[in-house]
Amino acid sequence: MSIFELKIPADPKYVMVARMTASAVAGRVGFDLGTIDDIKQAVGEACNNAIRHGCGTCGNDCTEILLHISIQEDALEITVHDRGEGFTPLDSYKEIDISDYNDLPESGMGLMIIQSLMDEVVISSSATEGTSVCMKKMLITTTISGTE
Amino acid sequence: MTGRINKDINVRKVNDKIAVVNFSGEMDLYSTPAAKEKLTELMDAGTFNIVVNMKHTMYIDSTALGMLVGAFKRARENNGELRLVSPSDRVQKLLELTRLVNVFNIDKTEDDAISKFNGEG
Repeated sequence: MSIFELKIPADPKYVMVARMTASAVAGRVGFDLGTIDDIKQAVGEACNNAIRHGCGTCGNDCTEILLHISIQEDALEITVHDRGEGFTPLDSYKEIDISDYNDLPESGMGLMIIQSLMDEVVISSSATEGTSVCMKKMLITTTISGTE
Repeated sequence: MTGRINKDINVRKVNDKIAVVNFSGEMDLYSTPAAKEKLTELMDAGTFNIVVNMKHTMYIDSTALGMLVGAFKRARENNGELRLVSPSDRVQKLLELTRLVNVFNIDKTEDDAISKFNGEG
């Protein structure tokens, strides 16, 4: 198992660094281009949430976001952690309601996007420990069998 | 707060009522404030028919999508419309994922979109 860790300032201008790091590792692991983009998107959304709803809203000492990437035998696991004030996560984030254009949401789509793009998502959050968004993308291996 | 001076945003006024805005590169939490500022400037000046060309938008996040939804709603409230043109594959995927593909009108070219405003569509 190989592990990468990156600390970035909790600043929108550096989210791109987290995205690019995750996509570079995903590329090395062998994911296809579309999946690499999905992973990049999910990491970007998780970092956005860490800045907007974590670090930016509390008095804790949370000026950094930690990106932890683990290459496992059958998956790539990425955790985005902040030390913000936390929130109560839902089991799932439903698709947005577009029935009334006047009530279309202008925020709150990030976690739904993450859950749609990644194979497993576990969110743990508390006021003292901050928030971790752990996302996993399974590696699909194909076996080419020959004829005898 | 403005995120940055964004050289990736280009605005072209067709007339007093119609404008075309090109967003190139990556639309994210950092660049979205500048994009929002441009759209707000247009609407504050009374331009509520806006074409957003996304042919060269290589990445978009939920912050930028939310900003576009906000602009879409404000345009509608003022009897205008915000139409998207030629979203890249990546943007199209996000529009489908969020079901916003069913909200925005999407055209193939800027001329197609402008013609809809002019009642030629």
